[in-house]
Parts: sequence; structure tokens; C-alpha cells
Amino acid sequence: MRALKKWSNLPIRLKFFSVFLTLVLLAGSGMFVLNHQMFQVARDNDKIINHSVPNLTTQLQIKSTIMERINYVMLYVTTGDEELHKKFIEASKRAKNIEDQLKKNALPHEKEGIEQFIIHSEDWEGILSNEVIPVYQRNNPKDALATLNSRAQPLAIELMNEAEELSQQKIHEISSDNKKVLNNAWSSVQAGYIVMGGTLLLALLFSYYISHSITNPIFSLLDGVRRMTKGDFTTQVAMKRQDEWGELSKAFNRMSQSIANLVEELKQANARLREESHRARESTRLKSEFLANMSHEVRTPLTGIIGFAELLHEDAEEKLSPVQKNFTRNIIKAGEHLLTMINDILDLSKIEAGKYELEMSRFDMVELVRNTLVMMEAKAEKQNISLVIETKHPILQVVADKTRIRQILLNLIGNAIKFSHSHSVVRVMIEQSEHTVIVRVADEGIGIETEKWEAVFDPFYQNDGRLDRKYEGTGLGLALSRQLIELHGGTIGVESKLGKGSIFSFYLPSAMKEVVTSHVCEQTYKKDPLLVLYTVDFLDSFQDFSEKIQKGNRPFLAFMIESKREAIEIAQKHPEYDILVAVQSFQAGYVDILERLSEHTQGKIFSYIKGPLRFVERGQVMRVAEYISPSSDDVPTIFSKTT
Amino acid sequence: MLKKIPLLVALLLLVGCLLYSLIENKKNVSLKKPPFKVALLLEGKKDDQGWDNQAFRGLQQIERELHAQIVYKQDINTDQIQITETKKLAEEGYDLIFGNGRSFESIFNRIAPIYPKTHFVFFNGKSNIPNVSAVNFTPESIGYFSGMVAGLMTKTHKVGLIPAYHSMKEIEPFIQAVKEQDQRNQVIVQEVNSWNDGAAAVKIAKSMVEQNADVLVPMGDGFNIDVIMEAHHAKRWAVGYISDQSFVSRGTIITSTVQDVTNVYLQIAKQYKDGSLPEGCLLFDFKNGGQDLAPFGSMVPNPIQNKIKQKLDEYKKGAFFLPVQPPYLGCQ
Repeated sequence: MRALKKWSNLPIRLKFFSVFLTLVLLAGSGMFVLNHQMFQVARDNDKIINHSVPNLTTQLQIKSTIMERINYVMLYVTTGDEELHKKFIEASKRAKNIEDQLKKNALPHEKEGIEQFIIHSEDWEGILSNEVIPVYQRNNPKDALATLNSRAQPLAIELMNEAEELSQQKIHEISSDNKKVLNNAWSSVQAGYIVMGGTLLLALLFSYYISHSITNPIFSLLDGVRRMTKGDFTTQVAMKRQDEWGELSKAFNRMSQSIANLVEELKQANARLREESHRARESTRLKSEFLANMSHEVRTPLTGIIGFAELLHEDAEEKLSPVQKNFTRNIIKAGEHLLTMINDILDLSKIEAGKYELEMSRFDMVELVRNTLVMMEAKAEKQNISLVIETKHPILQVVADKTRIRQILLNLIGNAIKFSHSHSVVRVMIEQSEHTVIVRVADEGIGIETEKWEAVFDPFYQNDGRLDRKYEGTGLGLALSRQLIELHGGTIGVESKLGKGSIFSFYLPSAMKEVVTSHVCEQTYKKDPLLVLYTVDFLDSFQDFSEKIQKGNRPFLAFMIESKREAIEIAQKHPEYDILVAVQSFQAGYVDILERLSEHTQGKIFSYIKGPLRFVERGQVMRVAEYISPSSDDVPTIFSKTT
Repeated sequence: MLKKIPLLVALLLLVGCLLYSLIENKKNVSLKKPPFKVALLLEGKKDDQGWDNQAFRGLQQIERELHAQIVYKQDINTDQIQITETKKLAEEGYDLIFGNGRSFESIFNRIAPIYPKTHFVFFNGKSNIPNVSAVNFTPESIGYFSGMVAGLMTKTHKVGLIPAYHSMKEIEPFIQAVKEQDQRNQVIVQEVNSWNDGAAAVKIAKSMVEQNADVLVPMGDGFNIDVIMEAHHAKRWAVGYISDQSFVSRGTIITSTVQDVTNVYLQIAKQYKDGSLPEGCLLFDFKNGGQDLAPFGSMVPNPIQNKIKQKLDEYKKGAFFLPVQPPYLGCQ
């Protein structure tokens, strides 16, 4: 157990290496055993084929030569035929060769028996060649026969028995070797299967152990990560091992501890920020209120100043000198400029204070542009500038605050004339896309550097910042235009090339058919459940949010989404439902999610962004979303409404 | 580290295969010592029913018991052939070369110094060369006991002794032994003057038969069978020489003086192999088993058999001394 514990604390690569080495050793041992068995089988086969069978044949041959020799000698001593003597000598030579072969091929365990046999054979042949044949040849057939019968023949029988015994032993041995070969072959097969099986089993066990030792820590860490995802940043992963997984778990625990501390700090910071934000909003509201009141208070006497200055300028009694008249004109001009500025400031403050109301109506945008151009014609003519309208739509109905749109057009066309060179053309182009009406005002004037495209929409910004600047203006026109357009749920922007001219474009949602104010939104709704998709960062706020939706008595299905793909998949499952996408704050990609959702649903898209929203961001969202809920308090009222 | 794994596995497999092949090879290769090589030079044929056959059987025993690589050459009976064959065998690396007869004495003594790694053995002679051994039997005892048998068995009191040469040491004790048995006994002695001249021996045998000798005793390797066969045909008795020759004619052979050459060969080879073979002269007698009498034929009465056996026992035990003592203790 201690060894196993020590092993489990080894680094992972050493674990793999040790397992791999063990398997290699096992496989190697298996191969060794198999090779040994196969060699054994081959050796046994070789013994049978190259030793035992030839030896058996030789033993059988030697038996026949014994018979042969004794017969030749017997016949020789009885007939005296020299031919038989010669044949005996030849048979003896053959026998000698066979005996040599037998001795040479004898296996170690049979060597002694064969040598004994050869000794007996030689002694026996010695009797024939030394004691029988010579005696016969010396004309003593009686003693020759006597020796033959009394000694040589019994010995011949003994020899044949001995040869027979050797043959039988050999046959038995071959039979036994055959069995052994078969047994060895079967043992080889068994050993092969056992070794392979054992190796596979061990490999399986090792794989099982290794996979568990790897996946368990992963699951443990995954569990920790999930708990962290759900907000439990104090989660800790238990791990007793000392290997890389142990180190990772320790690191995870340290990380979760750090995150928990960080989250705690963030919570405190958030609380402080919320408080600061509230204070800031309150300050802004107070400022705007102050400005609105101040503007109103200033405008009233200013109107009187301008009115009286105009009366002076009219000079009904013609008592004013030309210089004085010029003075009154300057007073009127300055007053009007101041009034315009105050009006703009008033409008801006109202918008920021959330008190600005649009008066929505249906009107023809083309006609409005034409009328505006007529108004600006005198100014344009002064600078020899031509005003052109370009549109393929004879009539283009929109729902918007006509007065404010006209104000925006006057501002944009006025700027275009102001910054255009003489004898140039200012074009106003009107287009319509699926969801928006686009109006572009293009001039051939001085143009704006790319880096200043956004800055021109800031309040009091002047492209020419010098005190003795050439172009007049309050610097509030474009800022106010942007606020007004965004209040319509549209956007405004500029594209320009320095020295070549600029194109200011604003986009108005063409689908707006009802009167929209910052406080009231009347929409048509279906009775289908509402699909509420919220992002991970909105998780903390979702509890309150969902309670507020429930107050609206409209059924809803809520899903937390982690990606655009996930949101689309959910929308595809409920293509008929209206979708509300709730986020904590506006982020890049949010509009993209809305756009993709709008492609996959037949219902409406609603947006709820808890954090503060810039006008530009609001405009981007409004291009896609049917409605942006300004506050969670409005949610039940809006979504509970049905047709 | 992971890159080294295939290398390590390959190394392990290589080592495994190498070990396996080493084990297998070790099983298959046995350490072979160079064989013990023994050669035999015969003056006659290996199947001579006598001296050379005994030597051949000795060589066979060496092969069987000591697992020696053996070779034998027959008809090595001239000086030139003996020199050629001896040198050839020595150059072929034979450890032990037997020359089965006295004729090899001078050849071996001359050649042996040239081939110090080979040991040479011959019979019935002497040598003082370090790698030469001379094996000798005691001819006096052979002569005495064969004479005693012949003296006891003769009915005509005439015994014919046919030695190869008159100079043979067997003759004198033989004559004494014959006469000791019966004062009437006579011994007719005629040498063949050759070791192998069978025809001359037969002629002498016939002459002795004509002289009424009823027991013939041949003493020569190459002609003793001829003499026995002559006795067989003449219905006389004979004493075999060197080996048990009763098979030649059971009704003729009273007994044989046996020089146990077969055993002597084996003993010499064993001594050579274990390094205890003395150089110079070796002596074999009835006393050390080098000589004996073969079983008696059916014609020998038991009292005679017993008498001979008793005498032989006394001789072996030292209670009886030959009337003619050998004038030496070792070589002739």
C-alpha cells in the first residue's frame, strides 16, 4: 500500500513511463516464454526428424546386417563358398558404417546403450572373423561350427534382441516425443493466450486506474468551477495527492480564495459606486433642472430684449442713424444667437433630465426635407451653393417628432452650407431600408479629420477651436441632434474626408408607428409566453427582475445564455415567442445577439439593460429591438399588456 | 525524458535478445577437449587368433572404456613401413602409439626423441628414452608352466617344443618343467628361426609327430595356429600360445599360456591418461595378472588340473620359485 501511495504521488509522466515500462517488460517476458516454448517445439521436432527417425532406421538396418552376417558365415562354413565369405566381409563393412552412424547420431541419453551394443556387436563379429572363419579356413569345420553354434549364434540372438530393444525404445521415444511436441505446442498456445490475456488485463487495469486518476481530479475541479459559476467563490477542492493534479488543486483553491476576496472587494466597491452613481444622477438631475429653470428664466427677458431690439431696428420713425441701426441689428443677432443657444441648452437639459417629450406624428419625410431646403435656400444662395434633394421615393411616411426632425435637418443643412465652398452643392439623400429611414446630408466643404468624427457630436465642440475662428455656431447643434435622434431610437453619424466634404446621416426606425415618449410606450403584445434570455453577469439581478416580470401576469420562460449560439438554439425552439434579452450592461456583441435572434424568431425583440446606456448605444439597440425597457419597474406594465 | 523512452525500450529488447541468444548458444556449444588418440601397429593381421588379435581387442577396450579415437594398421612388418607409419601417426598428433612386437624396439627408440609429445609403447624389449615404454612378459614362467602341463599330459613321454628361436628364454624352464613331471619325459626342441613361418613350423611339427611326440608346444606368434592344426590333424595334443586358442580345436588344446595383452593395453592407456605411465621397461607376469593359463580342455584330468593350479598359486604367492630365475628384474 505504501508503494502504491508513493507511486500515486509520482509526477504524471513518470506514472505513464512506469506503466509503459511495466507493460513492455510483461510483453517482453511473454515473448521470452513464447519463444522458449517455440524453440522447445522446434527442438523436439528436429530431434524426431533428424535424430530419432534416422536412428530408428539405422537400428532396423543393423538388425538386418546381424542376420545377414551370421547367415553368410553359417553358409560359408557349411558350403565353403568363398563368395559368401566376401559377402560377409562386405556386410561387416556396411555394419561398421551403420554402427558409426548410429553412434554419431546417438542422443546423449542413448549413447551408452548404443556403445554397449556396438561393443557386443564388435565382440560378436570378432568371434566370427577370428574364431570361426579362420578355423574353418584351417580345415577344421567341426570346431568352426561348434564355435558358431555355441557362441556366435546365441550372441547373434542376443544382439538382435538388443537391437530390437533399442528399436522399441526408439519407437517409444518417438511416440513420446510426438506427444511432447503436441503438448508443448498446446502449452505454447496456452502460454501465449495466458501471457496476452494477462498483459491485456494488466493494461486494462492500468488504463482504468490511470483514467480514473486523471479524470477524478478533473471532475473534482469541474465541480469546483461549477460552484464558482453559481457564485460560490469560497469553494475548495479536496485533493490529497502530491502530483500535478494535487498542485493544480492547490492552485485552484488559492485562486478561488483570491477570487472570493476580490468578489468581496468588488461588492463593496459596487455598493460605493451605486451610491456614487445615485448621487451623480441626482446631481445631473438637479443640474439639468437648474439649467432648465435658468434657461426659462433667461429666455423670457431675452425674448423681450430681442423684441425691443427688433422694434428699434424697424425704426418706424426713422430716427436712428445707420450706425445705431447697425447696433440694433447686432443686438438682434446676438440675442437670437443667445436664444438659440439657450433653447438648445434647455432641450439638452430636458433630455438629460428625462423630461423631454417627443410629439410623434406620421408625416412625409420627403416633403419635410423639401420644405426645409426651401427654408435654407436664401442662405445657400448667399454663398452660391446649390441645394439638391435625391430620393427615389416620392413619399416616405415616418412616425416621428416632425418639429425635431426639421430642427435636425436645419442644423445639418445649415452646417453643410456653413462649411461648404462657394459654387458647391449640398445634397440631401433620402433612403429606406427594411427597418429604417436614412437621411444623408452631404456637402463638398472643408471636411473633418477622422479622429474628430465622434467629437463633433460633443456639446460645445468646435472643429475650429481658435478664438478668431471663421465659422460661427454654438457647438450644441450636433450634440442636440444626436440626443434627439437617439430619443427617436435612431442613430446619427458622420463620414468625412478632409478637404473633400462630409456626409452626416441619421437613421430613424421606420417601424415606429405609435407615439413613443421616454415614459410611455404602448405596444401590441401576443398572449404567447415571453422568452427571457439573460447573460451570466445578470445572474445577481435576475431574481428581482423575474419577480417583477411575474407581476405582469404574462407567462415567461427564462434561460441563462453563455453564448450567441446558445441564444439562437433557444430561440429556434420557440420561434413564435417574443424575446426579452436582459443584460447587466451594454457590451460589444449585445447588438449582434439581438440581430441574430431577430433572424430566428417571428416574435418581437425586447431589450433590458440594467446599467446606464449612452445615446449611441441606445440607438444601436433600438435598430433591432422593438423596445428598450428603461427600468425594471416598467417591465411588468409593458409586458403584461395584450392585444 | 519522453523522447528517450523508445531508445530505452529498444535497448531493453536488444539486451533481452542478446541474453537469450547467449543462453541458447551456450546450450548448443559444448567445450570439446581434444580427443585422446591411440594408434596400434600390427606386424600381422588383427584376426590372427593370437597376439595381434589380443592387441586389437586391447585397442577396442581403450576405445570403449577411455573413449579414445583409435586407429590400427595391419601388416606393418618391414623396417621401412614401420618407420613411415610411425612418423605419420606421430605427425597426426596421436598421443599413444603401440607397436605390437619386439620389431618396433629399435624404430621407436630412434624416432621417439623427434616426437616428444607422443608416447611410444612396444613389447619385449628395452628402452631408456623418456617417451618410450617397453612392455615385457616373463618368458621363463610361460616356459615353465607350459612345460609342466605338457609334461603331465604326455603319454609317449615325448614333448615337441617349436620355438621361433633357440634364444628364447622360455625354452630352458620349459624343458626343466617337462622333465620334473616324469623322469622319462623327453623334449624335442627345434626352432623355426622365424616368428611367422607357418610352413616351416608345420614341417617341424610333422617331424615331431613322426618322432612320436604326442604334445606339441608352439612358441611363435605367427605359426602357433599352424602347429595346433597340425596336431589336430595328427590327433595329438597342443598347448596354445599367447591367447586361449581352444576354439581352434577343442580336442587338441590342453590349455594355452595366455599373455593378457588386451588388459595390458588398457592398463597402459589408463596410466598414460592419468600421467602415471612409467617410462622405460614394464614387466608383466602371472603374479600381476599379465600372464595366465587358459581353462583346461576336457582331456585334462582333474588331478592334473589341480596340481598345476596349486603350483601356479604357490608361484603367485612366492612359495615357489622357478628353477631358472630370470637374471633381471625388468627388461630383457
